[in-house]
Formats: sequence, structure tokens, C-alpha cells
Amino acid sequence: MSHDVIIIGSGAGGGAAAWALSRRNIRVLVLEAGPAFDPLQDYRLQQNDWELTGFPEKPGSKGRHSYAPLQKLEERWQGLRSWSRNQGITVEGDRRAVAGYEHVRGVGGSTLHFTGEAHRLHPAAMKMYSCFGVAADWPFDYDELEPYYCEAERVIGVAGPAVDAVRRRSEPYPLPPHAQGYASRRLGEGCRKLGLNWVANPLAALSESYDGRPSCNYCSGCTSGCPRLDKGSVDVTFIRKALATGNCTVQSSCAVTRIEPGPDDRVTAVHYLDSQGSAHKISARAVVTACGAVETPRLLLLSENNHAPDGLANESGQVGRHFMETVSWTSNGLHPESLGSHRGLPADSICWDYNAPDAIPGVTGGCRFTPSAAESGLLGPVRYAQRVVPGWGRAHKAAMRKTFGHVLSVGAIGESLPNPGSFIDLDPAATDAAGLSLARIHSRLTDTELRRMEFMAGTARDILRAAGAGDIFEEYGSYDRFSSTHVFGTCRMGDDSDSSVVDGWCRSHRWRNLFIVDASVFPSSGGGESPSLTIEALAIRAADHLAQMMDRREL
Amino acid sequence: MFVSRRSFLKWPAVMWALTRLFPVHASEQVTSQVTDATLGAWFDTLIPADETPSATQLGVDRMMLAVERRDPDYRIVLDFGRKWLDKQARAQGAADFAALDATDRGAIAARAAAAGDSPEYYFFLSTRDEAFAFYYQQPESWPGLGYGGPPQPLGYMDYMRKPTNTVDG
Repeated sequence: MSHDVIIIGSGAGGGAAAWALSRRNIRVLVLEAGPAFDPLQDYRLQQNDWELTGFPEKPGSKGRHSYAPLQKLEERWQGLRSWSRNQGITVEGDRRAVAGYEHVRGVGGSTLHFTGEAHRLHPAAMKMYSCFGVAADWPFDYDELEPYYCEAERVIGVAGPAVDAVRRRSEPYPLPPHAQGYASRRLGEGCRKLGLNWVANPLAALSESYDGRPSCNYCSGCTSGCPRLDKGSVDVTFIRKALATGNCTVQSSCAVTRIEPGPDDRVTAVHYLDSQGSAHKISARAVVTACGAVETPRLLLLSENNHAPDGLANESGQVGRHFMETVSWTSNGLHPESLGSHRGLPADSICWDYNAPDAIPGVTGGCRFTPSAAESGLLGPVRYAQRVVPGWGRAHKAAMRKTFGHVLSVGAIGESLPNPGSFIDLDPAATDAAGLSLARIHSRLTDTELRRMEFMAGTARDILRAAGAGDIFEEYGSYDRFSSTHVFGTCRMGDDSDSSVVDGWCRSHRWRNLFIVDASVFPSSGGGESPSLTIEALAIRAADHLAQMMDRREL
Repeated sequence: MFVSRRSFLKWPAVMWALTRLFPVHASEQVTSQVTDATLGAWFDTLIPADETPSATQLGVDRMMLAVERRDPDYRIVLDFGRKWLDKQARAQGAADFAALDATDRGAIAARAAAAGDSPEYYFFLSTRDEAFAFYYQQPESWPGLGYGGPPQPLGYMDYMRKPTNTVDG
């Protein structure tokens, strides 16, 4: 079977593009570097050892990257060090450590282990340069993206609140919001004491059965992989629907090694290695990359030839620049009341009050707060025994019985503004099994990020105290450990070909049949919003444009 | 220690530090004269029986020894621990750690826990975390916790209500 479009990557962007193209009778081949997961066979939430396994690893499900030396830690930011009551300061030494780029390589990408947050960007966060003089503006505004948000929400079955005063909606969410959990309501009481709003979080988890999938049963285990299929990960939504059209083929465990630039501003072929290590070369009318903000620039830089001597789509020198990471903070405390905080949805509620770019006093860029016991991994007795309850012996066992279910956790994620010290390049020494250079992550947090994080930490502590959980036993953030689930910005989208990689339709400024539909195109990160829904909306929009070009025989 | 936002302390937190520290002690070519009664007594010190079983009653010692057989780094840790525990016991006139009563074992555990940046401290932390991991994944350890078992397949449809069968602190 020949294909009209090759899509590289099957996460939020690749999956949504595959669906949007295949529904228009465009024949799509999706090449996924990682394996396919079988939710019923691979996920372990029904096993006694579920806490220890987390999201399962399979051969090829973790990409390899390297890291340039990270910045020195400073005394003035001591309040942002990660610590725990049981172990003290948790990052040794005086330099920022690497926890890693937390991702899943597999059919469905990192949505396989996400908590299901389905956020739209704050409209003002798309105008960071014109309004605040930082980052770059998106080449279109929120209203342009809004219909595509709606489409993505319908495919997924997003459950969300009826009212959103900031993000205009042309139609309601497909499903009503989930009721807030018992523990979350305690945090809500704390927020109210502080004058903050604590509202239902829009989630890609079904509040009612939808599209042949059952409703959520509130096990809180989203990050370990949902065996019920109610979480709207890309494998059970976009990819499933794309496959149902009969126009889409997904090949897992196929790692693309390069895209071949041709002589006429078109890419002519995609080279990949299959699961047996055999090399293949295939062609199509268009190529869509959706490998994420770390792997997409790597692939483009690896794809240099005499037609693209500085790397594919790198005429501006911007590929790999403007890397934005996850600026995060989490505070975990104990509440005197048994809350059963291991139950529910991982982030069923959210405080958006500081999400606008100018909402944090004196710091540009917003943030948001959610419950975070699930993302902290504090859902079962093993982690309670190791991390929450100090000591050992009979006293430890007795304390376990008094403590389990008492954790309250507040997590915050904030804007990450680009800076010259944060970028992706090819590692000159480290290579993968095929001998190809690894992506090397350069990360630097500026004072702006750290001041924002300081605000996030202070507010998280305030919320915990106001909620009655002032007995804080551990905190951690991305100041002393690079730890990113959301990464952005390394193939910036813009109108100016000198300062961006793709245009407003996510098409390369030079390479007419090359598109990028992942968060690498984000000109700004937003104020802590989870990016998957925006990636999906962007991908649907770009795919519609691509399809129209094909209809007009422009590709 | 390297930890991540999503998998904070997924693995015993001190393994990294241990593998840095212990090559020095490994070079001593520990030829332990003790049996695994030493480790069994150690794990039962960390997790004694009360309303629920002790560590060894749930086979934690056997699981740890299985890890030791698979993992050379962990063998270094446990070898050091055996030797250190028995040395402390002999200093108190006992044949080995297992021969001590519960009070004396607890005092030695307290010394390890308070030893700061030292091999015995990392031995304590590492075996504590591993023992808890093996112990609390077994249903026999759950009575009294307010935890009924793995999250699936039943989930928590009562997540909006105050939990039942739990103890308020």
C-alpha cells in the first residue's frame, strides 16, 4: 500500500494529524519509534506490586538523551531545594541534577502516562512578545484555534466545567465535569480561605461512558496507564479512530533515522529502521514530524545533506533554539483527618487564578495549582512507608495505620520562557544504537523562572496550611533537578522565516511538503497549561490545511 | 540523588549514593561468617510482628536475598550490613546480631539511622526502603491501613465521600 502522508511519531500531534488526514480519505502511514502497549496486558494497576512498576517499560519505550552540564545552585534560592523529612536535602552537591525528560515512546506517546489534563491555552499567553516583550507571539490568536480545540475535545470526550471566563468556548465540553474528590475539596477550602478559586479541571477522562468507552472509576492511577480505556490517551482516541477509517497504518518500533531533503525545496524520502534493524526508505507526498520538542529538532539536524547543509528546515538557524521545559513545584503535607487522598482523579481540580501572564506580582508568566498526590506517587502503602512515615519498627507500623490516606499535595506548573542558555543540539560524542548522535539538552533557569517558582512554592505551602495540612514532609521542584514532562519551542512557529522554523500552518518555511505538529512549534509555553490538547488542536488545523493543499494539488 | 517529578523515589533513593560509597568496603573482601539469620533479624527489627506479620513472616528476607543474587551492587550493600551488624553485636558481647534481644537490636538500628553520611546510614536507608517495598505489596500487611488493595479493577467510586475504616490522627 502506498501512502500520501508519512507521519513520524504517534503522540498527541501525530495521532491527531493521522485522524484528521485519514478521515479525509488521505492514506497515512504512521511510524512510531516505540512499541505498542496493550492496556489490558501491559498495565499493572490490578497487581499487588502496582506501586513499584508505575507506567510499564517495554523495549524501546524510553528514548535516550544527553545533558549538557546544568547550572550551579545558589544560596539565594535555597528555599527551592528539594527535600524530604526522611532524607533531608535530596539533591547532593552544588549543581542542578538530572532527573530526566519524562516521556513515553510508544503508540500514543506521552499521553499514555499523562494525568489527562485537557487544557486550552490562556489567550494572552499567545501574545507574550507584543504584550510583555518576552518569548514570541503565536502567528494567530486563540479564536483561530478555538474550533480545533472543540474538535479535539469531541474526539477525546473531555469532561469540563460549563463556565470559563477566560477561554471563550463556542460549545460546551462534550461531558460534564467530574465531581471533586473528598481530599480535593479540603484543598478547595484552603483556597477559599486565601481568596483563591478552586474549580473543576478539564480532563481527558470520561465522566460518563462515551464513544464506546466506559466512564472512569476513579482509581487515581492515570500515570501508570489506564486499563479501562476511559482516559483519553491518543491510542484509544485519535489512533483508534484513524485506524477505523481504513486509511491509516501504524508501524510501531520503527525509528526514523533521517528525512531526505531534495533539490526542489521538497523532502523526498524518509529513512527508518524497523524492529529487526532493517533499513527502509519510503516516500510520500508530504511528511509530518511529531516527535516532540527534543526529538524533532534532533531528527531535523540529523537530516542534513547538500541541499540542507545546516540541517533540515534550519535555514534560520533556529532549529533547537528556544527550548522551554517544565517549571514545577510540589509540596506534600499531612492532614490530621483521614481523607482517602489515594482515591479519585489525579488532578480533578485546578486554581487558575495566577495563570494569566501578568497575574503573578512582579514576574512575567503565569502558573496554576492542582492536587498532586497521584503525580507524587503517594497512592499506596509502599510509598507511604518509604516517604511519608518516618522511622521503623512497631512505631512505624502504628504510624502507618494512622497516616495512610492523610496526604494532601499541591503541585504547581508555571510558564517557561525561552532563553539563550536553553536549547537542543546534537551530542558530539554520545550516539544511539544506530550510531546517530543523541539529542543533547541544554537547560538554564533564569531568575525570572526562579522567582516564579518561588511564588509557586510559597502559594503551594499557603494552600496546604490553609487546608489544614501544614505538616509538610517533602517538597521538590525543577530548580535543583531538571525534570520535564512538558517540553516546547525548539522549532518555533512564526511568520518571519528568519526567526522561526515553520509558518502558522506548521509548515516549514522552505520545505513545502514538510510539517511539524508537536510542541516544538510553540512560540511560548503558556502559564502551566498541559499542552496535549493544544498540540492536538494545532495538528488538526495543520492537517486540514495539508489536506486542502493536496486537494489543490499543491503537494 | 536523582529523582523526578513523576517518579519521585520510585527506586530506593540511596542506591546511587551506595554504589559510590561501597567499593571501598567491597575491597575488604568480606567473607561473612554469619548466616542470613543476621539479615532476618535486621528486617524483623525494621518490621516486627504486631497485628500484622513481621518482615520474615512475609518472606522479605528471601526477597532481599533474591535481589542480592541478581544485583552485584546490592550484594555489596548487604555484605557490608551483615558485617557491620554483627560487629556491633559482638561489641555488646553477643555472638551476632540475631542473638541480641529486640531492645538491643533497636538501639543498633537507631545508631545506623542517626549515623549521617556513612555506609551504615545508607545501609539502613536502603534496606528500609527495600524492605517496606516488599512488605507493603503483600495483602497480609494491609489490615488496619484503610487500603483494600490495588486500584483496579474496582477503582474508588466512593472518592467523594469521607473514607471509612480509617484512623484519624
